[in-house]
Amino acid sequence: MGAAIRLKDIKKSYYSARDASEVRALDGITLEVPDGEFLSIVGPSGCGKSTLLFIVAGLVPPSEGTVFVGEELVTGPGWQRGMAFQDFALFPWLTVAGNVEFGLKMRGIPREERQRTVRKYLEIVGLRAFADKYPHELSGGMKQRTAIARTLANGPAVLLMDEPFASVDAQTRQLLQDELLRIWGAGETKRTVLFVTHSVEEALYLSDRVVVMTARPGRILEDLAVPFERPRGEHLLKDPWFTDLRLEIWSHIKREVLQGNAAEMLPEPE
Amino acid sequence: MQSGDVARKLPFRAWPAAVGARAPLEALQRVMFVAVALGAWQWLAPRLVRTGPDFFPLPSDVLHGFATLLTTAEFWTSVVSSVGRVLAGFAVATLAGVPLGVLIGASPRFEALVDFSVEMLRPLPAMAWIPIAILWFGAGDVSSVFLVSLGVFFPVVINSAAGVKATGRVYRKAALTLGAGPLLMLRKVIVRGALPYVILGCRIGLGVGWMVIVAGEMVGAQSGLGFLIMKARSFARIDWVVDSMIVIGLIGLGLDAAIVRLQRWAVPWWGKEGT
Repeated sequence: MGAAIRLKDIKKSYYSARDASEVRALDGITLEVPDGEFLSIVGPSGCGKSTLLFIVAGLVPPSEGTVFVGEELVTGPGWQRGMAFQDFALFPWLTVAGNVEFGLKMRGIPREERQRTVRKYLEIVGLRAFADKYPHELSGGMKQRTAIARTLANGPAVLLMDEPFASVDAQTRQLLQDELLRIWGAGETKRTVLFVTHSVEEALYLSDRVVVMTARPGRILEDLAVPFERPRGEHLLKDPWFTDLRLEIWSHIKREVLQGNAAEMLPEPE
Repeated sequence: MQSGDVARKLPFRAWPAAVGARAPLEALQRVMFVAVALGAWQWLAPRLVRTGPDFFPLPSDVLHGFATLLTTAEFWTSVVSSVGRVLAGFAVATLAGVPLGVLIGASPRFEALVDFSVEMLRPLPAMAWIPIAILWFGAGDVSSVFLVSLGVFFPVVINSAAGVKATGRVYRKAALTLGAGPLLMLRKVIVRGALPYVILGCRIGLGVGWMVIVAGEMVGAQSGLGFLIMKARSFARIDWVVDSMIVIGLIGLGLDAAIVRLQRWAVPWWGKEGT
């Protein structure tokens, strides 16, 4: 398998008006994500993990370094790198179906094919019956399913997810995680996923590989393969091996934060 | 979001919704309040000041004044010309103000260029333009429309710009990663996303415009409700003055209610839990 995403020595610094100084957010990230891999990035709050994702998306330019997706050097945003956001960012003036159709329309896909694709992905995320509803009529979980369908329907080569389940309640979150694994595992839609989360448990549960980042300026602290077999289910959460691994990663993050003397940067305790 | 379900059930009530109040009890209370206030006025005023249609009108005088005022052709032409001027000024200001606001919101460079000018002209009361308006356009329709459009223009510009900025951050990132190019995005996402703010600007602007027209007509016109007030005063018909004031208030309320309806229809998601 070739590398779907290749990050070479990514650095990012920006001027912060609040601190009235230059902030070094990322300090030399080099990472290769093979085709079809589900990779999660965890780290203390403010470590630059979301910034890294925005750089891969092309929404934020890196200060130094290069991003390749497939053979293509990333110089700006594009539909080949689909993204799901923590705040969903659905278009409130479009229906669920209209949102899912948006990217296809932007790309000039003919109407009939668009409708077929929209139906297919609404089916996959279980929102067929809600096609004509507007986002403000949906629950948080349904909004994020709509947003995921919108991204997948566009057929991106890689899927970038920025804490997509952070703003839904705990039960919904568990359901959405299982659903994401089901969608991702469903053969033809299996894509490379770069998933940012502050939850070690979520990262371990979902991913093939977990990358742990240091506190700001963000560097890669650890890069570990997740040993658990697929398909995964809730039983895994009680597995002692899973718990040990989770606590171990968590302790690394915690040490990282405490060294940085910034207790406010602690993510939610697990 | 969890709070979304709660927010959805809470009635979203802009003030003018009171006009078409759904709860009959509330409507009754509202009528009672006005009745009590008018009763107190009718009873108390003669005990305090010299009353009558030429000095301090009582509710009965005002009512009586309506009976005569509503039969005059001048009253109706005044209503038509005031409302017509406001709508014309509103149209001019909106056509110019929305594109300017969108540009300011979408382009930081353009904002830096015009920000000072807009912010300098904005606090100027429209009334300060009266001498120039009369000099340029004479006392009449064009002057009034000009003044109204100045009053409407700035709220529309400021709110449109704010809308583009606020919603641009959210929708732009999604649209870009879905493959939208800059032009399509401006049309399909940025303007559409800013619409609630644009309509809010229009609502504020229309209110300002209606205030401007009445004041403007008092000095710079030969017709309209503002002119009618001054004319009634010179005839010492204070009851007609009050009648005109009531009509002005009611029309203002009606114009606002119309925009609120437009808002509910055009942006049903506005005020709902974040999407």
